[in-house]
Amino acid sequence: MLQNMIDSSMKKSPWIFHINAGSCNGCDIELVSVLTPRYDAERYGFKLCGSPRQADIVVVSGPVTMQSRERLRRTLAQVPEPFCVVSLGSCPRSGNVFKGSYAIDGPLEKYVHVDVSVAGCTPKPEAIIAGLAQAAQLLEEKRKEARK
Amino acid sequence: MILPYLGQSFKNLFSKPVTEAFPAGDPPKAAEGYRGRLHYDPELCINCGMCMRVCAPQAITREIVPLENGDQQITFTYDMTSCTFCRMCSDFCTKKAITLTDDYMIVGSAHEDFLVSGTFIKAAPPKPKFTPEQLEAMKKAAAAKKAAAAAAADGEKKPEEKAEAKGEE
Amino acid sequence: MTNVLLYAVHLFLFPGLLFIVVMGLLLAGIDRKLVARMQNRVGASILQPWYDFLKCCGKETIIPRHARKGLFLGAPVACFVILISAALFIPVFGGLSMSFEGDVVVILYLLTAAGVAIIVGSAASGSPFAGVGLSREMVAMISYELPFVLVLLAVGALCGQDSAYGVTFSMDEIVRWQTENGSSLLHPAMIPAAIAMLFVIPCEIGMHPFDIAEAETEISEGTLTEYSGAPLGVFKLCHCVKMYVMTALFCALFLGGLSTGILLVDALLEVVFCIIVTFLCMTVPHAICARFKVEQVFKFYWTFVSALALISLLLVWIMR
Repeated sequence: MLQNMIDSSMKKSPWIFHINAGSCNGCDIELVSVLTPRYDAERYGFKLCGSPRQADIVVVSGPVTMQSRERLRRTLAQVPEPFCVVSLGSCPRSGNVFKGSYAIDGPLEKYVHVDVSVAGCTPKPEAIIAGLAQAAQLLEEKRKEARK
Repeated sequence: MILPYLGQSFKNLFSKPVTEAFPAGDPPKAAEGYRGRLHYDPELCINCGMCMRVCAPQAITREIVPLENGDQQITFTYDMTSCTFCRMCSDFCTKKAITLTDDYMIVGSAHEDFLVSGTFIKAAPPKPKFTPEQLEAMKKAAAAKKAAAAAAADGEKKPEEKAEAKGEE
Repeated sequence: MTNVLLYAVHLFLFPGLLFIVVMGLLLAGIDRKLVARMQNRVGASILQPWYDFLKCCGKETIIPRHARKGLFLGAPVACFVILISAALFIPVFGGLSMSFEGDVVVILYLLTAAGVAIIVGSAASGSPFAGVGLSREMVAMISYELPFVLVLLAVGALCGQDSAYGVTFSMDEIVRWQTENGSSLLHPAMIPAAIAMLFVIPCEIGMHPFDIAEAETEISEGTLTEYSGAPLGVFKLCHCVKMYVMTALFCALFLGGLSTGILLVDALLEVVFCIIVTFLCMTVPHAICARFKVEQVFKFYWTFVSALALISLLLVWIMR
């Protein structure tokens, strides 16, 4: 029973850790606006946490630049299981307008499996909330799978 | 005042929260002129390729499959995870086949969720009536006729007949 | 036999483990909800701290390569046990506690020891962020410790004025004096001390405007940087329990004489007063203030708050 309670609380308190992998700051601002009074993702237990060790959902924005590549890889290695990766905006999936630049070493799929993507440049906060909610559902499924 | 938000916070405690009900209800409508998910109408497209030329992130791909009867099956694919939503493709589209809707919910897991594509068949141009050999022969015949008419005009020098001969040519 | 059973109930059920944990989670949930409402949001449900704790228990526990394993995992448990034992000395309204002569000093020591357990845990994790966090935690401890001791002295001096030494360090004594002479909050000399105590509580707990040690945006959670999984959950639970311990201490020190004698009513009164104190000293500053700088916290506590506590102490000596 306790295990079932843990499973169900998995999706009720997903903590977000945000990695900026060379983003233009547009998606970062929209992600923070998700926690403002108007959109208030905290009613579903979302919380921005400062350390990757405490994260459940890792949100990556920006095309993966050469400078941020190693940091990204090291940060993702520190996140405890089970966790979800959400790519924010067009950049992490494809490189967007920076595609083909010598400073880009993307897409994000090369380094980690992306669970949910939110496209847009930048996505609206409603779309981000929908994406995060989808990722929170995935968290519970992942935990159930890991138990089996 | 040292604590400027004290009064406001107590006022908020007894007022209705400003939070949108969104994930519970329908997503709110986007603002006017919002550039969201792209809509492509293959019926209007003429395969000029202008959208591909102006697309900065190279989000548009075209696939041309030749069919047996000489027609071409053309597929345009617009990748929403690569798009910057700048609306250049829509502005440059002469036939207005591309429009940007106000649908901003572009969320998914698989890559297919983000692709907008359309296929149309471009008919081959109509076949010419005569083969090149026939055309050559007709040209020669016309030249010979002209030469004959010119020779006849030299003999008579009547303006009416000359005009008539020209008309026949 | 019945004595042992009663003791076990005392330790694990009513004023003990279960009650303390439930109260801590309740206070934390109410605080979060009220902060959200004061910021014009809907906010998380009141059960959110409980979900957070459960979720942390379900996560993988990572032990960093540079960490001392024993200390790293032992610190949260030590912190939790210390806080529970501190809470056992604090009387619920009816005076249900394991009181003895000098337990105020023990409570003071145990609360400091809980802070030290956090410092030891973060020092054992071997992260530079945790290093910065623990140094800030120490500054916070030095800041609130002085006014806290002064407040306890003032209350002790008021409630122990009839005793042999002129000052008492027994929780039982303090509660008994208040039952006879009315709550110490009604005594005019105690009002500055009560205000000082209201300021001490959020810093002791590490609530928002004074959470210099766990500043998540500046030093990535500071003392808790390397913690993940169940140890993190225990630390979060400690945070909630600390909220109950401090608010219950306030109730015992300043509102002790309101006991009705019926256990259930007393417990309910305790809950209500704890919520009111939480609202006054934690929710309101959290909702309207941004985080203080390190030196601002230090200056604030050693000048303004200490002065309030000192005035109260002097007034008690003059008025008796």
